[in-house]
Amino acid sequence: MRTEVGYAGGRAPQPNYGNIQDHSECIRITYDPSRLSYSQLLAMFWAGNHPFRPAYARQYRSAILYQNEQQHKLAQETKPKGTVYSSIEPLGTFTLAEDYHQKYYLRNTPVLFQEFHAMYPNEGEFMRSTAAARANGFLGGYGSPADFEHDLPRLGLSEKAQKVLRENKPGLKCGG
Amino acid sequence: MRWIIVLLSLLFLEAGGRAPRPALDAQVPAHLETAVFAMG
Repeated sequence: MRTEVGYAGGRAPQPNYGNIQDHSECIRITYDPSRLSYSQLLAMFWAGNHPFRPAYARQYRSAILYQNEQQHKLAQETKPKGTVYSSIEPLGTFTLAEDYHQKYYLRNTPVLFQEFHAMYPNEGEFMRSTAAARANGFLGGYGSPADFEHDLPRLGLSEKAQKVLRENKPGLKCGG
Repeated sequence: MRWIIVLLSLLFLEAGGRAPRPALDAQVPAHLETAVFAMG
């Protein structure tokens, strides 16, 4: 799995953080469909989001940006009952956010970021690293204790960095 | 000829200087799909 943050959902060309225009802050998840389904991602979206609460700004709205009719159909079928403010609409362009937004928690934990930078001097490869995405998620408080213990020795980190990750990992926000 | 030797040396330096990749990144599936969400 890979995660990238960016801007989508609008029509204006070349959005950026200082001038997001009509776009919204988005996440693009690249996943192996033999291990994770779009339905599972939708379940996490509906559970971890706030579909019944209107967004206070278009930049921070909740939306499913589908890329084909199958995704569209599944999004509609799984939509909760009631007044849902989350939008379901086709994806236009997805513009990658600036480097400093990618793997935000990891970038702000110097010991870990330095070790990942040594493994991935190239920013694009760092962004596409599953290990970086997992470490970033753990730092954000996501993932189960079992996931953490399973992944920790597979992140390519030194013992010192593993200890830092363990100490900086907050309590769980969800079991996913 | 000399520039080829310099280039190859740089490539080996690059490979040698880089820390080993994490086990989690060792296998890239042949087929990947993408999903995009705005998460509020």
